[in-house]
Amino acid sequence: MATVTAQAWPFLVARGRRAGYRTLLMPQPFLAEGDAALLENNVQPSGVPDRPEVLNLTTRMGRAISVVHATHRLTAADLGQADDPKDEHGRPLHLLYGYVRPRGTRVEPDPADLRTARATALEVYRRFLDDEANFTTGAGQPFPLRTSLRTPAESRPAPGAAPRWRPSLRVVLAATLALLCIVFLLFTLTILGDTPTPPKPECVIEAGTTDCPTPTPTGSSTAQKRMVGGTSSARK
Amino acid sequence: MEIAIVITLAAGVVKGLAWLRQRLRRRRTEGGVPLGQASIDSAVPTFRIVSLGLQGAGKTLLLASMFHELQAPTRQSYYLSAAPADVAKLTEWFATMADTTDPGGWPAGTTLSETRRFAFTVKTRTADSVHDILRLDYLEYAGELLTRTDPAGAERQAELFAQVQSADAVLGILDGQRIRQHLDGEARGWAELDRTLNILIPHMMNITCPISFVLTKWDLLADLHEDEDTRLARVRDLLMANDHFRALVNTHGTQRVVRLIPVSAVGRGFATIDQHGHVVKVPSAQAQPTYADVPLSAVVPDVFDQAEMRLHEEFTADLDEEIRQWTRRTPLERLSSAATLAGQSAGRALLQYIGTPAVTVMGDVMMGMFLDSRRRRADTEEAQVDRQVNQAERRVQEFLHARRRVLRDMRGKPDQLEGRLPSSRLTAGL
Repeated sequence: MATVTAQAWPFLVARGRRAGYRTLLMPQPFLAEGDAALLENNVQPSGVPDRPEVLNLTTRMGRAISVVHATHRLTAADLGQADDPKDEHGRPLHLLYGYVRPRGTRVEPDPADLRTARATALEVYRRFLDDEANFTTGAGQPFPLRTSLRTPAESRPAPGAAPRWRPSLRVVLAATLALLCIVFLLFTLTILGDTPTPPKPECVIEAGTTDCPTPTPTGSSTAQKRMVGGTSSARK
Repeated sequence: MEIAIVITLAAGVVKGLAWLRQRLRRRRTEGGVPLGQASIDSAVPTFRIVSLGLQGAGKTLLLASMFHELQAPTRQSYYLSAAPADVAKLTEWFATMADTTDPGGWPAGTTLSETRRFAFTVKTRTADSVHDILRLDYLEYAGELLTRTDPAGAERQAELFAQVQSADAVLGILDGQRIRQHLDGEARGWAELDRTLNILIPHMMNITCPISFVLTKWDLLADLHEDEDTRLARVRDLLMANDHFRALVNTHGTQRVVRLIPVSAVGRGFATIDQHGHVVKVPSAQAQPTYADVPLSAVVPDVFDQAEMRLHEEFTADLDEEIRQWTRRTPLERLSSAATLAGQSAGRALLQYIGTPAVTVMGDVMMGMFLDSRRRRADTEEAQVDRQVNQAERRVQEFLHARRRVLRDMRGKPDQLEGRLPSSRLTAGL
């Protein structure tokens, strides 16, 4: 299987004791592109603590990214305090943390990557708590991703693996076209089959004459005679 | 003779088609939406409610306890219904709040990404049916959106302010904990209260829809004075001492009553303030929301009154059109009647053509019976139409009666509050 080792950028969205939810750590490329609200507007808290979830997003610049995120309720141990930290209203404090990576396919996030992101997020959050009012959003620096990415372009069968046939779009289109042609042909043949074909002339008009040698008394023969006569006149 | 037979056969075919159509129409009426119901459904208005309050003011808990109180017709004729996912979320919030095994286990605040609308239907039951009376579209958002000043939050903030401007009713949420802090002599209490008013007032000054103020965490002010109305009067006086607040109340008060509704999502004795200033739960206390059902009831009838004339006109027009459509005879049915008449003439002609006196006499008798049967059938169809229209009228009357009852119950809640707490009325209104 073709895989690539990529980089990821950590992020953190959280509220403080007084300050409201905001992005505290933003992947450096997003800050540069002015896409600072992307994560805080899209990453939702999870009911299960520290369980990774993957969210696919497209940045303002059109870049396809995957956001691996989790929710962590801050504990006394996280901040080295005696009691669990709370905001000024007595509510527990949560971190929405994780990392951003290039979008891949069918990848289980490596727990080690999330641990790295959480360690970075906690470090940033401690600094934020020290001075909430004057804290400015930090730029998340990239770290090597342990999760192996398999991008769509690289999703070829590994050497030695049994090839698994999957019809490509082109094959499906060709088959559909062929089917349509067959239906059209059948339809056309049916229509043509129902169309009355002109009867064969029952007589051959000889030069210098206008009548059939053996005229028949039926109406159809009369019509044929009229038609043939016209043709003959035209020849003249 | 041949013409008569052809006419009779043609009349039979047309009658058959008309009969088929009538069967279809009857089946549609019996198995589908009954006459009048479509107009009733379209007469159910949707009102957008926005609660304006800063982070931590208690918007989410107010919503959760409001739904908890109104999810069944316990003290009123109506109840709230919501989509299963919304019910699950609201129930989860209330359960987290009511769970005293975790003293600090309040629901985490709403994040910026969790901005969502809760769609409630106000319903009521009558003897044999459930009526949708109105729908409420309630915006839930992160309070910090109101105070964001950075470009990242500007877009969401603009969306929120647009929602406020187009709302049918606005609830201004005032944090009771801030008032408690102020009355306890903490400078931060007044600073935050002043900040709240300075943010809320400009938005509320620009709107013309009904407004009410909701004082959350009312239970935290319980020990200010033993008399509840005296407590509320102290808070009212404190707020009215703010020039901007007083101007806002007086401006809206020229149109309708403006109220200050004290609310506790958990009830008295459920929580207390610890030495750090945090609100913590009292072990083994039970959550019993207080006045949580009043804020909606205080604004919705006013909103309805504002829209009533338009709603009435739309409802009448819809109902007229629905009945007109239903009773209208289609071209096929008109042709059927003509064919019946032709069939009757042809039948008489046929009998006269046969010509013997006995047959002619018998034919007249048969023809009379046939005409009588036709008349009876026409009478039956007419009676059926009358019956359906009468049923529709009864249905509409029942709906209107149910709606009046719900609105009366809604109006009763703030009236009861006012009877108990006269200080909840900030202005006289018109």
